[in-house]
Amino acid sequence: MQNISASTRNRDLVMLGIFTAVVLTAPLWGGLIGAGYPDLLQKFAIFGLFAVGYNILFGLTGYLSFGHAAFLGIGSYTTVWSFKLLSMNALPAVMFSVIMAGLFSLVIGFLSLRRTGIYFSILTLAFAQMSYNLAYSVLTPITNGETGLRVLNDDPRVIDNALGIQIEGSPLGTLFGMELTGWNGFYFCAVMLILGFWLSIKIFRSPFGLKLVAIKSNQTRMSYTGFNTQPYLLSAFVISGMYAGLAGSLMAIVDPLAGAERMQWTASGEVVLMTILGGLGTLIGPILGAATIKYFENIFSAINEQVLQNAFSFLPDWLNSFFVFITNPFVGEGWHLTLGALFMLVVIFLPGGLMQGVSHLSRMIKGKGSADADKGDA
Amino acid sequence: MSNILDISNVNKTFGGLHALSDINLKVEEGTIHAIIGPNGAGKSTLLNCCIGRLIPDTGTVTFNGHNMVGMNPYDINHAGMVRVFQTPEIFADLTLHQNVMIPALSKRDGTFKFNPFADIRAEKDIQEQARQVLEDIGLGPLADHHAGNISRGDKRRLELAMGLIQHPKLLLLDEPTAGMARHDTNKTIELLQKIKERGMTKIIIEHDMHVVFSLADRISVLAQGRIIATGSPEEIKVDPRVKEAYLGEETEE
Amino acid sequence: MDAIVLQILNGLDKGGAYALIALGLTLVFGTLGVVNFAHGALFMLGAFVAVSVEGLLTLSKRVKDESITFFDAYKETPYLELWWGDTGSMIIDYSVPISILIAVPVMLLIGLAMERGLVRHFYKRDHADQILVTFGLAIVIQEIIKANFGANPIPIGAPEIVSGSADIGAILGLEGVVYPWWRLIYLAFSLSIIGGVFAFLQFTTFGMVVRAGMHDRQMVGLLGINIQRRFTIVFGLAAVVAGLAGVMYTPILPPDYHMGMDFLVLSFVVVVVGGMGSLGGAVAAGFLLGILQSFFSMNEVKQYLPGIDQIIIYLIAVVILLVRPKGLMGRD
Repeated sequence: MQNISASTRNRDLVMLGIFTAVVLTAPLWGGLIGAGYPDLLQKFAIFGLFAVGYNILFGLTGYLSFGHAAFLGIGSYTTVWSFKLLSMNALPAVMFSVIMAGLFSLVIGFLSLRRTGIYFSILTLAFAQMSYNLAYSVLTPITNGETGLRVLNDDPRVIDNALGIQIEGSPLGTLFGMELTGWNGFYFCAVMLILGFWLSIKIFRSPFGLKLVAIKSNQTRMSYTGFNTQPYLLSAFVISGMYAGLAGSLMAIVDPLAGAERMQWTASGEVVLMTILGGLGTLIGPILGAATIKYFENIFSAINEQVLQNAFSFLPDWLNSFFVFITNPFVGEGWHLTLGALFMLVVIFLPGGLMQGVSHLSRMIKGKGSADADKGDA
Repeated sequence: MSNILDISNVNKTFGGLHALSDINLKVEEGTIHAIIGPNGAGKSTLLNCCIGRLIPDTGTVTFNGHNMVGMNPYDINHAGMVRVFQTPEIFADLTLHQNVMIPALSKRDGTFKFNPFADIRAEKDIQEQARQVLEDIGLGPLADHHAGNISRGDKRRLELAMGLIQHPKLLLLDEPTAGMARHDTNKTIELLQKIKERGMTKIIIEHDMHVVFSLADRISVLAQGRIIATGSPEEIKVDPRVKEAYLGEETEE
Repeated sequence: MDAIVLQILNGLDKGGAYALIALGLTLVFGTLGVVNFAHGALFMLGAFVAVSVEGLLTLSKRVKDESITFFDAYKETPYLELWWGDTGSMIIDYSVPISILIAVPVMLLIGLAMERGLVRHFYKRDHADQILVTFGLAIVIQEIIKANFGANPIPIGAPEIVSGSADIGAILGLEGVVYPWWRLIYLAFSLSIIGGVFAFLQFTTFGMVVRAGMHDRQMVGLLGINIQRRFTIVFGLAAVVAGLAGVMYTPILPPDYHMGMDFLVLSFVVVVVGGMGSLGGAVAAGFLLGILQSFFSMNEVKQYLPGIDQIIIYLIAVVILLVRPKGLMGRD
């Protein structure tokens, strides 16, 4: 963990300020990098939130969970049910989703944390698969199984009907009358992201956060130093579970649909990659990682063979075919292949993620040699 | 002076190996009590039984009137019994300053405190306390270095600092000068003598007889899992059983 | 009663697959200390060796269909049939057994390559890193297969001669219990591979060193034995076992690109239930969980507890992990 005393509270405020400014003005500068539309920016915010929360568990304590996609799914389902039963208003939806995700992560976390290391990871894996199977085929009255859960025009929506609020057209999440779609949807997500980021700064700078990092460094020692590590780990687990629930809720708010495939353990793999790509245990890293992954997913998925051929058209035919041949598997539907390869590359060559690269660069620029010198903290 | 620690009738076997047999040992409050003995005598096992790392098969370990056997390590720590590890088990990823703050936080916050909204940089008292202890022990300049990067000798001193900052009633030191050069050994003796004045009880496991005879008020000799002699340094020096256990050797490192 | 026997047999089949995969996982974890999330992919690769062999054997060309006389008709006829007539057809029919022979060297090479190229660099790194990098590898392998073979399951048939069912009931004195020959063969096959592995470990010097290494890796290294080469071979062995399990399983379950991940999760659960580091435990737990899963998918049971078959394995794993952390037979 970086040297806390070097980063003063003022620096944190500045960082938060810059972050807020960058996020809230994203619709303006997004277009410059080809990311200027609401759907994509919403994804940056949603997965950024998911990754920030996940980082609080994996980054700070080192416990690798495969179960967090399940909490994402629970968030989505709860939100859709809130839309169906109570109101299209996003606030109760968010609130209930976070609470539900918190409850589930409390139970799953409590059980999984009876063990450590690989056994913990496999327990979370088992729970994730269980949740997925339950959602897919067993609890279909609640989840609507394979088809996914949608909001229908004739749903009860008790609160809305009492207040005389009707839906016109297809149901969309609202914030007191304002439909949360397009840029409105983005700003709602962005505000949540900023709040989530602020909270993570608080956690990182607190005694609680320091103790979590110490647990990662030497858990048995913590025990002999007088700390009961269980409640600390469980707190981190539940907090990260609630972040996941919030992310899932936002997903369903901007697109009122909930499906079981979000809960598969392999979906948890994506958030792990985002976190380590950005920089495990850093503040900004996870958000950076999430945005990077979603950004390139957007680009790569849209490329097809034709595009590649055009790109390489300046080459002679046989070279053109060769390059198209070797790049084709990585684009379009092959995005998952790229993701898997990226996973491997990051773990093998850059375990500290992008933030490690950034701090290398800044050290080179500053010209400092000692690894013990004051490290900038982000 | 009462006995702060009363080890009574402790036995511990591993498979067929009798690591500890019928251990009876009383430690007076405020004294420095050394435990010596040849390698494999069971000294570390005894220590582990005190702090909760091992559970003895029989017997009690009464500390301040309470039996510690079966208690969680973190509760034993809060009862006032703190161990300084032989192989440094510091937090390698944290700075020295942070390393020392952790035990201080434990002392203040107890076994669990959920305070994610407090700011550790604003905790002036803890920050100062930690810096002071590092200064006292001579590690002041290294306070902001990562603990994984310092020398082994410095790690041992950090271990000691981490133990001291909790103001334990009983400090258990496991070979505090093992592998140290003469210069460092003397510094450690000085340090431990300085703390002697504060009234803290200490149990020291040691091989270095120079250290033992400089510091100890009482000495117990452990051989093959049994205590073969307990007494003042003068008594132990001339005890024939002790000489026999060591085969006539007085090791001076 | 016959329903129960049927379910037991069903369970033993699946259990055999679990046991074989779990066996390989445990070998690798026990000797190398590596958690290999790409192990399921090895199972899948074995299955796709069978797919490839079948594809190769049935390379066809358009040939005039002589049997249709009143207009010119053409059909795709395999080269082998064209060249060798009936013998050719027979070769194609036996594609799965032929795949077994081809799979052994292929899987061995893949396993060796995986160990030398990737896994060995991760011995010293912590389990989380091992999991992540092998997870990434598993995804890469899976996607390559998907790109080349498509997303749909590819049915592969067992040889004609064993494509029918055996009347087991007759042996046990029960009415109407028939069970496919090939599945019985699979059961016998998995048991013999398991037996072979155990015999190898028990009765050869190499096996003895491996077992010693599973007990205490440091010690063996200190004794001056070149443990590294043995590790590589063990990894290759585990890959072959997983691959063969996959090859033989193709007539039972048409291979598709994500079968690796599906079986991997269950196999890890099996390993943990059996006790990580215990080969016997992995095998026993594999069969046990296979049978349990089979039983809980019986209609009679599903009536009372709908969907229980999907989650029963995980429930049991959770209970065992919490109640008996070492697993059934573990010693880690």
